[in-house]
Amino acid sequence: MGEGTLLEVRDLTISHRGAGLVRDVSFDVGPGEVVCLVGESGSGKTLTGRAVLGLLRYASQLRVSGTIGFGGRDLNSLPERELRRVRGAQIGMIFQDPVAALDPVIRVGSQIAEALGARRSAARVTELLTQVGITDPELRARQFPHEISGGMCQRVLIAIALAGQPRLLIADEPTTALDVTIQAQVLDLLAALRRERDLSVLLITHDLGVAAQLADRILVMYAGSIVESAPAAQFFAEPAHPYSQGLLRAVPRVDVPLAGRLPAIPGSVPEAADRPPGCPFHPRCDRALDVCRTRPPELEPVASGLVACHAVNVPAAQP
Amino acid sequence: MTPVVEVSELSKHYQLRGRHAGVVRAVDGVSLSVGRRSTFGLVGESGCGKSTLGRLLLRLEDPTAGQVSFDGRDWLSQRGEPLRRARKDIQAVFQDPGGSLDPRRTAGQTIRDALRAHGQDTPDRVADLLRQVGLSPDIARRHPRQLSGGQRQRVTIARAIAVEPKFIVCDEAVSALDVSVQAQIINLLADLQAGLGISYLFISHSLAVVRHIADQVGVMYLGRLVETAPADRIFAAPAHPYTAALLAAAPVPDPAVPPAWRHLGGEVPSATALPAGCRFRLRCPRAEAVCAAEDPPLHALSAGHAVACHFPDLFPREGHVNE
Repeated sequence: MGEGTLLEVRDLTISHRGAGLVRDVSFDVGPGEVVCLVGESGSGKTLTGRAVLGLLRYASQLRVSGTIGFGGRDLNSLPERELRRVRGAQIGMIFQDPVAALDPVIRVGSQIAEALGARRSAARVTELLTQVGITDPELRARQFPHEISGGMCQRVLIAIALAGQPRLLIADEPTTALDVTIQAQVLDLLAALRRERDLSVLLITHDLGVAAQLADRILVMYAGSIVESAPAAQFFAEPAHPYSQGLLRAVPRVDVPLAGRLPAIPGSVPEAADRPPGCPFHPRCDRALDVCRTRPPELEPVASGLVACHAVNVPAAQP
Repeated sequence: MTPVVEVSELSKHYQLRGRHAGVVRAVDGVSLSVGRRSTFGLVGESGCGKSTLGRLLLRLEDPTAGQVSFDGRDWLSQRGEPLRRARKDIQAVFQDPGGSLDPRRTAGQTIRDALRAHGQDTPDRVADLLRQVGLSPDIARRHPRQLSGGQRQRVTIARAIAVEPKFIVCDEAVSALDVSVQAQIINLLADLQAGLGISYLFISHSLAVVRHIADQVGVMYLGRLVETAPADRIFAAPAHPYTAALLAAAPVPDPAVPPAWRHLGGEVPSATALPAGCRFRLRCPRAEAVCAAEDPPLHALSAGHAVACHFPDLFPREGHVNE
């Protein structure tokens, strides 16, 4: 395991009846680093996050291979009993729908206490609720999930995730179900936690605007593979992969002057079972070459990071 | 030219019983008008009443009070067979195309159902409509599960335009779609408007999306229209502090852009226990005593621009060159 690496995913492949849902995904997350997996539906970003926590073990139709190095061990080959000590304690997770992730018939405080385990105390529950920015924590601890708002439920889930004092937080679309003013508050909270606790975050999102607010590094996934990896500043200034470029152009935004029509990417993301041969993006790509139709590109270094694209990589090799 | 839709003082109140008894003022005295060949973008967070307003215009629910005129006629007094016939003029496109298509009917059958309901079924029409929304006519034989999300939404749009409506309520019509496909559908709606002269009420939680399609924008908060203005105006100089906060909270895909406004604190109050005076005052950075005492009415600032705030300000957005 490399110096300064907390999570080291190597060659993660997840398949379903022979169709590769996630293919040869490798990436690192360093201490205190926020790495953002960006992609549209069907890109494999959520499966990747779940595989890190070993949550796909009982999905009998899925085959998971590769290694997930964390704290000097491979989580993918760890027995379930030992993995349970990692889950929740060293790696926390929050999901998209905060209301569904809480037990509707148990008071909020009891759910946090459960996560605290042997170290539970009313004072510690109050402290955690305060840390995630919930005012009047004693009252909130006595309430049921349906009595509090969605934004507050997500704060409670973050409190539960923090209860074990994890080093890594996996956040899968943590603000997608929230209103935009509440989303801004939750993103501020995640940024503060990362600053104050040196927490590493694997943020999974479809929203490039959310990614821009938190990420140190961006990994773009398309049809099961990472197609670009770059530091956030470089990525947003000069995305290298044609898909990344198209995606960034297609985002409606409020901060730049309108320049005519919104540039769309033609077509749609292929289903895992009918991905085209070669580069999975080539049917939608305006820079596709002949080679793109036959040979899948590999991630290769460019100035800003790594890019899997023949059109980007080939000209550099043959100047 | 007279507007297609004119809404005046429209309200929908729901009576709650039992432990949470009270009145929910989902829509509370909203007035707006939608011009011909134009798009009114209605924006707000969950629970603001934007979808209820859309459902009232579609006559899916009856309002508690207020008037709606459609094409110069009273739309709310229509009943029975005349209403059924008039419904063809107002169509709808909803958020989840999976949920609004019958899973057992092919795309072609779904579109023919709409045509038949209004006695307009002709053999070639389905293929024409599919082409008009950018789909191959072969799609007619497919079931919704054999289509992508973007293709399904194109089918619901084909169904909506099949009966040549004058007005379409689009309620979060692109919200469930991936970004790359969302842009395709926004452009399709714009093209159809240019070609067919349809007007839209485009309901969305996203100001950024609305900006790309709306001519006029309205912002709702807790049942009230708090600001309305021509699109270029509202993005360049929002006058209501809530509009300004919504703009500031919209995520921008550029880490170099600093947040333009301190993020709004607090949450939307319960619709059954509205604060006295201005409904926004508990979260408002500029609230003063008068805001608790008096509910500010919508008043005009300039042509097409009105705001419901005691202290409206033309928050000029720095570096914004859209004026």
